[in-house]
Amino acid sequence: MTERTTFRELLNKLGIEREKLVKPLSCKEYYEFLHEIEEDEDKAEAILRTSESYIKNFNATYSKYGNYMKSLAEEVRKIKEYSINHIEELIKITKENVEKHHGSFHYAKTAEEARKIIGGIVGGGKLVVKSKSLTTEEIKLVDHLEDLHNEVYETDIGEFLVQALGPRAMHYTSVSLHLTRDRVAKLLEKLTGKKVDSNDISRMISLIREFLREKYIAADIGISGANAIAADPGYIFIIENENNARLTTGLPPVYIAVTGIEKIVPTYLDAAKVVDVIVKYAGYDAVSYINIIGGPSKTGDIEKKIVYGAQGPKEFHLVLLDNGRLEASKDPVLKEALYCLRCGACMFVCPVFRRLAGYWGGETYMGGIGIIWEAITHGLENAYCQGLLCLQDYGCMEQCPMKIDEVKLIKEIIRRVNKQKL
Amino acid sequence: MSSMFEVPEIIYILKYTGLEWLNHMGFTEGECGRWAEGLNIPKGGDTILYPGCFEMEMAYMPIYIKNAKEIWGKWGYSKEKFLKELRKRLDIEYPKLGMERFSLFANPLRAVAKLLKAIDYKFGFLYEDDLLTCAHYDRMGLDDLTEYYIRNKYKLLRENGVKTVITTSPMSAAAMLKVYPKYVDNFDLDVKFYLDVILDKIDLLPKKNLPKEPVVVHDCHNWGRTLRELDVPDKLRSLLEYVGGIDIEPRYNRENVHCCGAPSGMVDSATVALIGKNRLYELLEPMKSTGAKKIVMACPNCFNTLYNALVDFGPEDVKMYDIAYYAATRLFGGVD
Repeated sequence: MTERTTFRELLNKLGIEREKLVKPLSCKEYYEFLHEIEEDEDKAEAILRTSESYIKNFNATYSKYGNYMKSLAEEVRKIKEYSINHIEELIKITKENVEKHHGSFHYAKTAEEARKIIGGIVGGGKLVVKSKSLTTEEIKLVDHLEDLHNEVYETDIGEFLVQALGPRAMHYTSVSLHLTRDRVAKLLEKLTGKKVDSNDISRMISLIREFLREKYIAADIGISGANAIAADPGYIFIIENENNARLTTGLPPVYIAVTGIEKIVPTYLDAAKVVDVIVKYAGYDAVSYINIIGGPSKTGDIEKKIVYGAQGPKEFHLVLLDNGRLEASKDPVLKEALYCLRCGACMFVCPVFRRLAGYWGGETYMGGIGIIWEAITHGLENAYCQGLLCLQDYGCMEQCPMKIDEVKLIKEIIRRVNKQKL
Repeated sequence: MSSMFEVPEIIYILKYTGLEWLNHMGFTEGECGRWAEGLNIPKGGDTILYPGCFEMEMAYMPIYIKNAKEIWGKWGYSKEKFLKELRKRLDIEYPKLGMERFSLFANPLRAVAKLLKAIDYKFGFLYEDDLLTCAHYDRMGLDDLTEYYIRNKYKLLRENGVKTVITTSPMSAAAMLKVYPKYVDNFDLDVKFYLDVILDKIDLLPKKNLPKEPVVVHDCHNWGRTLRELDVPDKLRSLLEYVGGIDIEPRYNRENVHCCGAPSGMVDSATVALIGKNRLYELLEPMKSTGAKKIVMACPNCFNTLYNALVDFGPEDVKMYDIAYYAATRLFGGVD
């Protein structure tokens, strides 16, 4: 096994401090923790700035595509309703298609099972590059792979900064909105040994690019999430702007996609519609890349003899995670949360999120919708204290393309806990 | 969190006091009707003004919360000892409520009554029998308590022969339109918001050549979204215009309004204060270009939060009003 210095160890050696997130043990402790965050005016300003910028972008997109967005979102809501109602059948179809196309299909009932499966594929002493994936955060994959002595790098720039400085992704699309340019400049100075001007953001980006470029080339494994999966023919859709997902999924010899079962929809066209709704409601006119992956790289260019592992990965694994989702799909109220596309549109209009960003919400998923996902993935009690802070102002539902009634779901969580506890 | 998970004290406090007293605030001395002193509003009648005691809850809330939280946990979870001590404290502390705070929440109700009288509208009020809105119970998922309260108290309305209720806030409107009908079979009360009644006969209000002034409007999220069928934002602006106010809109209002944080005030006042600060800054923003120095709204809960934010973070020359009080001040010079 190759001896490797993990990124965590490197950061420690360089004296780079990672902000920690306190896991609250009671509502009182949780609210006290939030008060510390709230007092940081720089953070508050950064969160508000990003929120305003989203609203500006969204309004521009909506003014151009409003009618199209609304009708496509309504169509996608129906696709999601159908998919969640037929989730077990769609998992089966996905498995058949992935295996038919020379991929390996894995199903993990719990986060622990998912870690074990992925740990088994990766092994130890490897260099791993990873693109943005909330599901891998849900299963705490990076920590697990580092514990197995692998060198793991987040390659989405926001995720990379959060991996270094902590404490967690703050939004689905604006991952590092809590980090100021000064903090990033200081990090990069320590990491690269070069002088960094905090006003020169382009230079900061090129330093990160330089740092990560060699990792892609040398990586043994690439790991990504997925924005949608088409059960038939088993395609994985990944939206991105940076080209890091393309490099992560295309260069290393082994590629692993990790995602939740709720991402599956029946067909290619259904998945394409999901993707376009995510893009538009995330406030983009268009994104730079939409990746569609249907198996390991292959060629039949010499006498039509198919060889797997042409110029991209030789191995392709799809790991589907349940972790409470299947049970939620059978819950008449909570199942609605599974329609979430993770565009993050609901968060920037939420007054609590606009003050606290991802410090408020679930352990992995943030904001009001994150509270519901916390209940699904970690149990109702873990969502209760956060849920009590929800203002129930329905701005989230207005903004949500799936019209998820977050308020109703959060109230239901509180109700159920009250019933058990009082 | 699961292993040491604890439901926060406020939930227990509401449940214990709500079940025991059928009135979580422990009002006994007519606090719900104190705002109406000297107005000669008849008790009962087929048409009543229905604040649901919410404005008075707001007035007394700091006393209630302070005392309840101070003694919570002193005897473990012993309900009896907690309630006995709280009762004792509230009996001493409630009468000490300062006139300034009382007036902040009494004046809007007095203004509503004054405006209704000015258009010759006949109405009564239930005083100490005013039914709570149950806004907090419903919000915090205490369904059993909401149901228990409504089943026990709703009959009072029937016994009083009430047919029409005039609501005064989003909380009392939501209670009658959304909460009570869930628990009352064949709910058939006619529910109105006071602005509807006033605007119907607005010509009967005094016509004065009032100087125009710019006023920033804050829409409660309930008016903007959850109770939008009542069209309160438009009605508020109509009354504002009638009394010489020029509507100044902040960036986010009506269906896009950002909530001021008030609904979570009982859970975590520190977080709410900062959410209120964010909203206050949105309201202050258009003042720079318009010269406005006043803010109006139609919600006592928003008023409470934004008023606190104004005192803590706002400029001293900006004033905040409930729309009814603003109108009454412009038309009658006040509410006394």
